[in-house]
Amino acid sequence: MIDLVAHLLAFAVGTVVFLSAPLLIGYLVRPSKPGAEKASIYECGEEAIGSSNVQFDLRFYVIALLFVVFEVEVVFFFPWAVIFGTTMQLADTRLSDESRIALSEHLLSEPAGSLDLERSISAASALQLGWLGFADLAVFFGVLLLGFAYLWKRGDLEWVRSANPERNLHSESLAKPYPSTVALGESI
Amino acid sequence: MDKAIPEIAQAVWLITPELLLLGVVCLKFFIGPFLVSESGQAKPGLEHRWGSLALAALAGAMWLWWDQQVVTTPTLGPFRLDAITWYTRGLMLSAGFILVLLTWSQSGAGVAAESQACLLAIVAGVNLISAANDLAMLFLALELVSIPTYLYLSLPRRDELSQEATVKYFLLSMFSSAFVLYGFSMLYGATGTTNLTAIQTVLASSQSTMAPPLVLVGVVMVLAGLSFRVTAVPFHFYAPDVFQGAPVSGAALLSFVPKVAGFIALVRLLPVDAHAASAGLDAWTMLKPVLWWLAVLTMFLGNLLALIQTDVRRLLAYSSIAHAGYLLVGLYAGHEQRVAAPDGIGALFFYLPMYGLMTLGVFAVLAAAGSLQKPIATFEDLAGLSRRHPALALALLVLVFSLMGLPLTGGFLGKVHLFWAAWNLPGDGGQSLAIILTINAAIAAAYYLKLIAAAYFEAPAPHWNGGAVESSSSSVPAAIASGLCAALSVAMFFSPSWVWGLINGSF
Amino acid sequence: MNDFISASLVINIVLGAILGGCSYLIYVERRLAAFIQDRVGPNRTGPAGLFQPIADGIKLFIKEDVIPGHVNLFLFILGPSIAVFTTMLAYAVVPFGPPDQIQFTLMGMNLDFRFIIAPQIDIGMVFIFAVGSLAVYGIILGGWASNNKYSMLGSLRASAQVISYEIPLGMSIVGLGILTGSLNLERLVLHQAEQGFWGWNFWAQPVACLIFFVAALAEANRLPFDLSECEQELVGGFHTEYSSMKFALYFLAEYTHVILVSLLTTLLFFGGWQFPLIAEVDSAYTGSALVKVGVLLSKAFCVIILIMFLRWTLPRFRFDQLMGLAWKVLIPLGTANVVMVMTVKHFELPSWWMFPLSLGLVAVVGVLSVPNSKTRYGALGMAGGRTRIAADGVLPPGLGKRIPM
Repeated sequence: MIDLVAHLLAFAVGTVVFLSAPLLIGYLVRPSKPGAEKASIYECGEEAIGSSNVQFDLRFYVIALLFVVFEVEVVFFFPWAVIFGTTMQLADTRLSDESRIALSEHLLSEPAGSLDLERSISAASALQLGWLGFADLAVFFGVLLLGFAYLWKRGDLEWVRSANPERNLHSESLAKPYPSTVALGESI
Repeated sequence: MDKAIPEIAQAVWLITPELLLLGVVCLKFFIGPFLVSESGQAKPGLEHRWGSLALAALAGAMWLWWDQQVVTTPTLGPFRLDAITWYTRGLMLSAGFILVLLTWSQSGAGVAAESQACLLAIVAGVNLISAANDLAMLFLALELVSIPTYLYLSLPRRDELSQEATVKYFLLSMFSSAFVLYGFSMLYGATGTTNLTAIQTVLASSQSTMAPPLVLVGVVMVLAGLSFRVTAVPFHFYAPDVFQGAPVSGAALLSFVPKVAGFIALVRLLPVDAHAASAGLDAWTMLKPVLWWLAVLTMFLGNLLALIQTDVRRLLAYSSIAHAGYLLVGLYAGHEQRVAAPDGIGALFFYLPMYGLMTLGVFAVLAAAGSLQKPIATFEDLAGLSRRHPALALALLVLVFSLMGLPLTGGFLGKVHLFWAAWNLPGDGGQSLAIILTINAAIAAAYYLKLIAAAYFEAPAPHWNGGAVESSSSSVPAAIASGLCAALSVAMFFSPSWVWGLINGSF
Repeated sequence: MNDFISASLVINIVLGAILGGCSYLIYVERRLAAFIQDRVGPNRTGPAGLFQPIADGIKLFIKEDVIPGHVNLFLFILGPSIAVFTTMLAYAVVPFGPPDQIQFTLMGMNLDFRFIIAPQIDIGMVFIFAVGSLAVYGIILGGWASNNKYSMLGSLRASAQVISYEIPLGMSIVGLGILTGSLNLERLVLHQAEQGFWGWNFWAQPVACLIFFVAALAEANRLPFDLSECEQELVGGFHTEYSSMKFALYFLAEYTHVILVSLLTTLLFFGGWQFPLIAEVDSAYTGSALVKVGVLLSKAFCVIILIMFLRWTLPRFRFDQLMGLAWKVLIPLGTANVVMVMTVKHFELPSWWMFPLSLGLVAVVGVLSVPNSKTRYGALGMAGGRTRIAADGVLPPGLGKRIPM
């Protein structure tokens, strides 16, 4: 474990050095002639109007919310997938004894060589665990897809959605000055 | 390994009523959007179908609950089914009926599916809190109560007041969830397990008589987080604003359901059993002064501030804070073997259904007398109710008497039990608390009588023209609910053995 | 001590290879673009223009580094650094050769050389996703700190895009986890290599391969997914205000990401270092390890060339199509794929079932995506053909979202 962390740390330090070296060398070598023109905001030659910290579209926020929900679900999938995969390998009765012991040790997080055939997971109980995992994930997927269907039907996945005045809550009052027969070309 | 798999697989059969409810929730969320147009409009009358489906689901869950056997042996699985679980299920499923009726009249056809589904999810969540035998499961159950609550509050009405109330509740509720989660992680860190039974075993077997600091910090954090749910002072401040802004059904839900959730979780987590506590740890004796002050402050602040309210819903919010104080008295008394029955927890469990009947009933009267868009807000709106709706006014009278704790209502018995449970405690703390409880009941009478006075002795305000006169069909379920609550409040006084049967796990 | 030296040897080789590889990939890309567009491309600096990357590097060093006066200096420098750092860090768990240990003597020291920086990490793929998702900070910090509207819009788009495509990216790996029973990259490769050519995950998981490749391209902000820096709309996107070396860092990050994506595609789906006859699990001839490294790198290079061809072949997506592709096509497809693998494994059907089943999945999605001639929308709700959207995203009231054109 310490070994792994040391490797990762060494790599991180190495990366930082590799990154900062060109920045530093460049800092020493390159010319520096600042000017008012150079320091201005790049707007294709125009003077920039207003702050750049504009109010942005609420849809980005909705995407971020959906992301949090689904990303958490995906994170739950990873350990499940590993355990389910190992279990289904164990459920195979043709598995050799050595691999059964090795896989059991891996699944139960026991140190290598600590289990014998007696105490490793039998094919029958692996199959039982497999059924449990199968049922669990079937329910999990069911609920996930249900929420997904709900979002989809409500139109939350549609990027152009908030442009749709029909979904607007005060649609009646807003829509009045624009009769629905207005031709497309006139109103845009 | 070979033993653990069947135990996990068996756990599913312990929560069949909740599975049924959650199945119906899924059904509603799945079909709901297909019956609503893209602009959120639906055929009027759709809410009747969804309401009936919710009632049917509750009835089915009740049937399953009735069939279940209480299992007393402690397990290492994620769920358990002991007397407390059995009691909570009975309580919440019955309260669910009243809340469904309230929701029925308070949500339009467009959002009926979602509102009823959220309500069923909340009921299932409270049941799961009592069934959880694991910190992770307990937290998930707590969130299953709070997350649908946010939706439930925001769905019926989309005006600024309602949105503000929802956002307030949302932010503060998240905050309290974080507290609870911190507390849980401390408990897990101190004991090395998330299983509640195993945690108790670990704590009981520890050698020292002092609780480890980690456990104490954890318990205090959990207490703080759950105090938010039960609206105990100083975690009460959101209640008046939210009650005022939220639709009546939402306020009714908030006045009762989070309290059940919070108190059940507290009973599960705190070492309320003095006997078990003496076996190992001192945590309970350290916590007792905290609980004493919590109860006293909550009672006084709730009742005194209620006196000066002009808005009926704010008044009821402070009244619900005061009642949280009364319930904390029961928690303070705890399990005490030396006291003749009922002890503190018994009195707490007796008072919860009484309180549920009266608070849900009063809100049902408000829902039936007003409408979703023009709710009953001030005393003027309530004035002359006896002339406009004599039946509703009578229900209000009975329910308010119950809130005051007058005889011939269940509220009286509830307060008496709480009083004796505290009075019989060894030491001064209990008796002083019992006296404070009585003083507070007297203070409360003043503002409750203002409600009666407005309904019976004042002429209807000339400007009042909204309410049930126009929207009579939508207020029928709420009127039924209020009548049911009033009738049951009186019935409980004459045959309290129903409730005691529920508490003791059998009829 | 010896461990430390061999570790630093590996680290230096990896970092050097990435930096060198990136600069020459730019050269390759320019030559390829020239070939596709019937131009000549860089050919003046050195034989066939081979010294062009070096000249570019020197230019980037000695160019003035303009830091505009209106930026948030700390975040402005932090942005590109994070972008490169996080992308590089992912290489820690990527094996670039077989799992053998090579022992050799260098200046009297016996060194163990392994073709990976941090060997045997069981959470390998999760680590890559975890580190990779931090890369979005590099873009959003750079864009925000620039205090420029173009940068701001570019970074917003990029963040929405990157987080959306992270979900199908993760889902595509779940199937492999079930098949292998591990997310350790070395085990994933070994599992394929043991079964030979037909054991490559591509044959069992063609859909997952497609999803992974598409989502990874989107993560790398490459065309056809480069909406965060589309020149026609946003000047340079999130790096509009950057110049000199910091600008180069963003490019370094992009190409590092491309190499990473190619390596991962090869390792996960195309058998890694395994190749029939010349590089099998049991080939033990002298230099077999180096041949395996060569096989792996050649495969990865093919994927890189494919990515470059895509860039000059496909037009850019529109933003609603981009989001629709992630949420309405890739995520349901990824979910269906996981269910498919789960079912096949659980009922112990032969693995070849997965290939036709995967093709069936793609066919179903394809049929659902065919746009209806009237609404121009497929059954999945993806816009086909032209859909009119007002420039600011707000249509006047009274106009629905589906406008038949």
